[in-house]
Amino acid sequence: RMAKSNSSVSPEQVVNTVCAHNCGGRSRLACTVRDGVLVRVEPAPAPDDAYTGLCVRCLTLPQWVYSKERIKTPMRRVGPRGSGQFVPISWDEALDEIVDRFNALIDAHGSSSIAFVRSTSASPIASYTRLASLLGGGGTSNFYGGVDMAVHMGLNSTFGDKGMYGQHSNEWTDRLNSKLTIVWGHNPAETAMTAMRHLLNARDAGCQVVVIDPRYSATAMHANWWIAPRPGSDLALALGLLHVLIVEGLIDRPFLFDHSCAPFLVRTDSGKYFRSGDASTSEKPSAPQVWDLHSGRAVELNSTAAPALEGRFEVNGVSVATAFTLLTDSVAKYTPSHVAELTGLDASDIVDLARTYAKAGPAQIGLGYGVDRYKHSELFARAAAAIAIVTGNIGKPGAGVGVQSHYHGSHPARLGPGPALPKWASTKPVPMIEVGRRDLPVRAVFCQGDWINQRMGDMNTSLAYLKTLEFVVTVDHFFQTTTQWSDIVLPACTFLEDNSAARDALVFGNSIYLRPKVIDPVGEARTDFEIERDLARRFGLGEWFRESSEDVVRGQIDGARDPAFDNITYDQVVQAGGAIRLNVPTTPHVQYGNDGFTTKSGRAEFYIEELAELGEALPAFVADHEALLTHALAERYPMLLVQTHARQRAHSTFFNTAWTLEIWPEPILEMNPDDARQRGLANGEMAEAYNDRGHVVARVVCNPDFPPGMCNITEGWKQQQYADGNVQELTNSEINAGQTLIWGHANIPFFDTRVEIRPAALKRQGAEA
Amino acid sequence: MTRLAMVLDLDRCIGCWACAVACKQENSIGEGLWWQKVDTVGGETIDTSVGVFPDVRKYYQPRNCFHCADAPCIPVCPTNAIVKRDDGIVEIKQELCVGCGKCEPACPFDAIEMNVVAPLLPPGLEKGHGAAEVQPRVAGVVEKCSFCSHRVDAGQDPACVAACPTQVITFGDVDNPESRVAAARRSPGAFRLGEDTGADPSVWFLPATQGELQRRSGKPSGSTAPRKPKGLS
Repeated sequence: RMAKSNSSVSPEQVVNTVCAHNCGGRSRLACTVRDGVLVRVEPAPAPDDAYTGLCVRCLTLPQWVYSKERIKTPMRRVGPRGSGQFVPISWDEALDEIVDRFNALIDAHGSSSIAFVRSTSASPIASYTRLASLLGGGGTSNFYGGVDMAVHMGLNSTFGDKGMYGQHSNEWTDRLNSKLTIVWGHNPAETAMTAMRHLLNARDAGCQVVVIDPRYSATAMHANWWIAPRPGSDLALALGLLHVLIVEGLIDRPFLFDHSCAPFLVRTDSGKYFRSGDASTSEKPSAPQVWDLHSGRAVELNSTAAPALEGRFEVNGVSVATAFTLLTDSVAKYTPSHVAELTGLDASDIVDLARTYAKAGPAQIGLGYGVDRYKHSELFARAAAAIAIVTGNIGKPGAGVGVQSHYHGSHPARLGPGPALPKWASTKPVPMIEVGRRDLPVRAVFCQGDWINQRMGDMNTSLAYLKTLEFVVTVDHFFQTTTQWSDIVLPACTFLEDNSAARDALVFGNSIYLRPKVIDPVGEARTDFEIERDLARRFGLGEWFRESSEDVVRGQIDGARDPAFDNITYDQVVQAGGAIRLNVPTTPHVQYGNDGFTTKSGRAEFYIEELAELGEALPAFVADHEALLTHALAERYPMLLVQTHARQRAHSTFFNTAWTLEIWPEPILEMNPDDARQRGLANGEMAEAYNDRGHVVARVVCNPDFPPGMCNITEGWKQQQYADGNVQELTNSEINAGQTLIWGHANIPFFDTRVEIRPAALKRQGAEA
Repeated sequence: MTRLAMVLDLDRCIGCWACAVACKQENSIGEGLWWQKVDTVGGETIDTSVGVFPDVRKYYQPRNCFHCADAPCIPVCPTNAIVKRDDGIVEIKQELCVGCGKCEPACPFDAIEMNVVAPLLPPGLEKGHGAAEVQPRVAGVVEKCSFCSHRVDAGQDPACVAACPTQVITFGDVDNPESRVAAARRSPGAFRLGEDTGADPSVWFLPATQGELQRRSGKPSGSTAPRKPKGLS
């Protein structure tokens, strides 16, 4: 057969890069560029072949980059706030205006009157943080936190702080070493599709896959065992499993002795650890003491070979108990029959799951963000961690507990430092969940991405706050909700566009990756690096910024002191096509295999003494969140509304890609067919979900994958895509005191959202958003 | 003889449509047309199950042209625009197609579609996207999956095979007993759609059994009848 003529084919090149979006897959992409246009994205070989592959979202990058929503020039608002009326202006005009307005506000009201905030719907590369910390002599406000952090908080509390999105789970490929994996509130088949391959590989190799999810997700349909507890009752189930494990003695005593807080003595009066000098309470805190079974005294841990794991004792008139005894007592009431009432499961299933997990062999618990978006999800994560701790199912191949929805968990390696900052450079953190809900000194906000639509609950409150601001600047790729309410809009390059040879470097998949320029900037878009640098120069802060991002990246790779980077230079990575395998082991990374826990005690701490005053030193089922049927709002608003992730988007990124919009064209309100019938609704009809906070109108899809009482609108649709309202008008922003006490901020509980549903008249939304 | 074929393991399909979108991109297919689709076998609409919670059931089944050994579309074409290559690929020669549409109903698998209007491509990609070797699509001709013959000729897998994140599809010469695709075809339960048509399709499926085999725990959380007015305005 004759090959087709290529005579009319224009010159093309293939550039390899790495996806930048927030599913965390970090797929290596081969991008075909023809006549300067990105026309095709395919999987490119990754240095570690386990990570070769991409997902449907990556495939839509060409139309994402050129979508009709793309912002092509800097813009200034001309109509009323929120009217969406803008005129193009030059970069010089835009940057000068920002600098003049910010300088005037800082002079009049101090630097905390300026706030920076970002959302992953814009350029995902950490930007504007240097400018934020330098501006006004340090002290600008920084809106931080948001959502998908509660499970990390719980794991960080237990094992040591690994940062806001710190990973505690083993590498995806380690699933092959597990005999059983509990996939809990985690749905990689729809959220992190490149992770799903590893779960299926493990299942097909004989690992038992247990999916815990109230909904029959695309991951649940592939499980060996699907367990559907009542939505929001996961914590009760975890405590019930702990109960069975401890009562039946399915515990790893050596692990508890050597690697956990189990033997530490706790004062039963205050809930604080018992320390030497505790009776006088005047000395500085030292390490918690343990009970020495030989001498019958409280002693330092390292001075006894026979500490007690269990027991209640008296020391100098002070009642103490081991942390393990307190855990045992605290889960005593979570009997299988009681937990069956709380979760809607059978008691026998709870017993069977605990036994199966404990006896399987190495087993993992992989958490996702489906269990993150309730008010007490940090307590759930601590309970899940405690399950792994009491059974010693951690730190071994095939054994671990952690968030698996985000990133590979591959071998870590540290890049060298970026350019230095002066000591005084800093920002004042403002928890995102409190923005608009308490008085702040902020008068102007510099937004990166669609913050209001995606990172804040209770949208009407957030929009009301936005209207109080004197000046709003947004840097984004696309016109979205926050841009509509801005005064100046700046067009940012996507991760595919650049003028520099290396946009950034990242460690992923046991490799070092570069992101090179794939295509020229679209329209007049500039990279975040250039925008930040040029703003800084206008503020007189240019000395703290390098000329190009390539300078920064070269310094980070050539200056890396981590042995994983031995004999790896920036030039070598470029010559190798932008990716090289690091000097790390070829076996899957196992968390806490060699490294100790980074808690104060160096042990896994299921007991958190700082939370004793709130009654949360041990995880307990605090049944006050809106999701539960026992909540006061449940009668008035009988439906629980969640927002699962959609296959077509990473959060709201890719809201505008034509090919996937052909498949999934509009927001749909999914609910159990019985719930629809009871409300006089049928497939395809328009319905309104409402509560005291707001409303949304969407097309009904009757789907028995959802239990009665639960409904869903996938997250990340934009204001203009709804027939009326917005799912974020309905969401909850109740603040969790325990999270705030330990971490200084709280997770936004998007899934603690009760609604009622009624038929909606078909009408388009007016011009006013 | 060479017989290029696919075996799709439905127990690994997650319904993500990466295969279909990769196909659409690679072959510069316009809005509204799909050479590859992903059927939800279950409820009435995409991604929904049949049954009563929690006794629900669905699985996903990607579907393209089956490149039948005895393809019914070939003899009905009055201009010989549909040809079978030596490697088994059933290909439409666009320049010979007169748009009579006789092949569409002849296909038992609904794999052929008429491009009624000039293909509508996304903004910025109006000159076409995907492989340079693919002919630009035009109005008034039929089109369908080509097993990415241009990629096969270059020694590559079809775009759908390369893009599938869960490695559902095995592709190759099913007549070569040593091949992976031949081994997959010999798997227990392997089946084809349309065995009764006599068309002898070259696409096999491994059945979705997980949903039937799996254990399930949990029950509905009780009545959620809408709230009664109770005098509220």
